[in-house]
Amino acid sequence: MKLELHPLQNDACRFGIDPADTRKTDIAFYDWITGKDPSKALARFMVWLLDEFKEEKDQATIRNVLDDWRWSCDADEFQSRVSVLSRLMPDSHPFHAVKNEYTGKP
Amino acid sequence: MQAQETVSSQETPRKAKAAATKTFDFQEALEALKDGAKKHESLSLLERAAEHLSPEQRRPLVQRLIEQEGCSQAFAERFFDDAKFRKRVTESCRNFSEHGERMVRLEEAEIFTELMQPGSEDIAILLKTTNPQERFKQLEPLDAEDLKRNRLWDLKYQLTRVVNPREDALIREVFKNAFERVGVQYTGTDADWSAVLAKSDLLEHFLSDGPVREVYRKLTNGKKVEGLGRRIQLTWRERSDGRRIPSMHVQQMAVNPETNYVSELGFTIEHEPPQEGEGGESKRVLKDVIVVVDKDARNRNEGAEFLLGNLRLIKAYKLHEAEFTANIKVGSYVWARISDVDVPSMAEKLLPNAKAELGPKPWDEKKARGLVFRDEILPTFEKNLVTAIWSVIESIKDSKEKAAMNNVLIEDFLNTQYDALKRRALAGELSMEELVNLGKGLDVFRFNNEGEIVRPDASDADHYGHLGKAAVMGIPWKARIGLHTRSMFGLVDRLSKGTGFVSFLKKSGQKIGLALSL
Repeated sequence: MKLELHPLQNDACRFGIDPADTRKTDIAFYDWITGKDPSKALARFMVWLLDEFKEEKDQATIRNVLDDWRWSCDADEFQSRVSVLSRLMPDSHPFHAVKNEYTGKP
Repeated sequence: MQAQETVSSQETPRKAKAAATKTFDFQEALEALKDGAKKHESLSLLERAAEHLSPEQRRPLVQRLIEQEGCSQAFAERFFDDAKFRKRVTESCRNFSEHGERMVRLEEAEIFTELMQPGSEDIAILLKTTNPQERFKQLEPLDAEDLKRNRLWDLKYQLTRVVNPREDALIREVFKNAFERVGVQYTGTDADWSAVLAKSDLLEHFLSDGPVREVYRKLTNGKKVEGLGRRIQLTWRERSDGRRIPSMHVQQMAVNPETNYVSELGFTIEHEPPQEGEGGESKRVLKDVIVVVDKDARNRNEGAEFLLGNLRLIKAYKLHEAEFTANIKVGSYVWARISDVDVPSMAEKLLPNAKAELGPKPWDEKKARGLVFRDEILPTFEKNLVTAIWSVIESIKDSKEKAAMNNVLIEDFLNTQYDALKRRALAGELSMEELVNLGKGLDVFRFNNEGEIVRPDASDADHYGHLGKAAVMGIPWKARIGLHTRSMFGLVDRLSKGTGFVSFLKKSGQKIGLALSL
C-alpha cells in the first residue's frame, strides 16, 4: 500500500523532494546524511579538516574544540581523538601543549 | 555617438585626444575587451583618457555608463573623478572579462574587492570550483539563447504562482517598468512577453534589468530554475536602515543532455555589518545556499561530496558564517541535524504585525525565536503533521488497529508530545532538532524510494521515517553555521553522530597521513 503525505495538494512536501524532480532522486542524499556515506565524502571531509587543523595556531580555539569533544564524547572516544591529533599534528603545533591540560600528563 | 563627438571637438593635447576618440567608442572598447589580446590595451586607454575630460564631457559618459553599461550613478561618477579608484577597478576588471562584456563588470570588480577583501582567492577559481560541470562530467553547459527564453517563460510562469496580492502588485510593477525601459508598450497581456521574446537584444536587456533579476531570484528560490547557466550578480544592496552593502550572488547551472535535468549551485555572499544595537565585528556571510544535483551524480553520492567540497571552498574564502536556506531541494531535516534556526535572519523577514510585537532592536532573543516558530515554522509543520497522521491512520483497515493507531498518533503524539513542544516553541525555548525529532523511534511508517509514506512492512519500505521528518519538509527555514575550526569540527561531529569521529574514519578506511594508519 502506498500513501502520500499530501494526497490532494502540495506534492512538494514528500520527503523533501523537489517537485520538479519527477524521478524523486533526493533519496541518496538522505542516505548520506544519515551516516551511510558510501562515497566516503564525509570521511574525506574529515581528513581535510584534520589537515586544516595543522594550520591552527590559536590555543584558545584548540581548547574550544577539545572542550566541545569532552562534553560530547565518552571518555574512550575523547581519548582516541586526542590520540589521533597527537600523532597527526607536527611537533611544533600548540596542540601538544594544550592537550596536557586535558590528559593530565606533563 | 554624442559622447564621441563631444570628445572629438575638444582642444586637447594630440595624444590624449587620440586616446579619447578611440576610447569613447564604448562598443569598440567593449568588443576589444572580449578579445584577450586587446583587452588590456583598451582598458588602459580608457583609464588614461578619462582624466583629460571636462565635467561637461564627462556627463554624457557617466550617463552612458549608467544606461548602457549597467553601472550605478555613484560608481559611474567616481570612475571619472577618482584616478586611484579608476586604476584599481580597471585592474580588477581583468579577472571579470571572461564572465561578461559590459562595463558593469568594473563595478562588480569594485564590489568584489570590497566584499572579499585582500587575501581572498581569485573569482575565476571560485567559478571553477562551484561549477557543477567540474565535478559531474556528464553535465554540459546550457545553451545561452535557449536559456534566456526559458528564463523569460519561467518568470512569466512564476508570476502566476504568487498568492499574496501585495507581492503580486509589486512584481507586476517591476515588470511594467522593465518592459517600458526596454521600449515595449506595456499592456499587461501576453503581448508584452511575446514582444520581448521576439528580439534577442530586448530579451537580454529585460533579463539583465536589476529589479527583474531580483524578482527572478526571489521567485525561483527553492524551485527548479531554468535560466542562464552561469550568473554572477555583484550589486550594492540597500538595507532597510539605508546602508549600502556589497553583495555577490553566484548561480551556476549545467544540464545533463540525456535527462535534460538541470543541476544547480547558488549562493549569495554578503558583508553584513554588525546588527544594530549590538557590538561586534561585521561578517562575510554565505547565504541562501541552494544545491540541486542531477540524479546520476547523486546516485553516486557525488552530490554530498559537492556540498562538502563547497564547504571547504567557503572556508578558503575567509567567510565567517554560512546561512543555508533549508529548502525542499536539500532537505529541512538535514539542516536540523547540522544547525539550529537562525533567529536574527528569519526575524528580519517577519510580517509587520509580528515585527511590531517584537519591538525595536535589540530584540529579545527568546521572544524573536518564539515569533519565528509561531509565524514561519509551526503553521506549515502542523499542516504537514496532521496530513501525515491522517495518511497513516486512514491506511489501516482493521478497526481495532485503527483505534489503537488513532490513540497513539492523535492522543499521545499530537495532543501530548507535540503540544508540549509547541508550548516550548512559543516560549522561545525549542530547537529545530527537538522539533524534527518528534516521533523518532516510533516505526509506524517508512518512506519508499519514491518518497511516499508506506507501511513499515511494505516491500518497498526502504527508508526510515518519522513524524518530525515528514512534517518539516518544505518549510523554508534558515540555518546558520560558523565556518571556523571549532564549528567545522562540530559539523563533522553532528554528521558522524552515532559512530564516533575516529571509528567513522576507521570504518571508511581513510588513511590520514603516511605515519598514521587507522
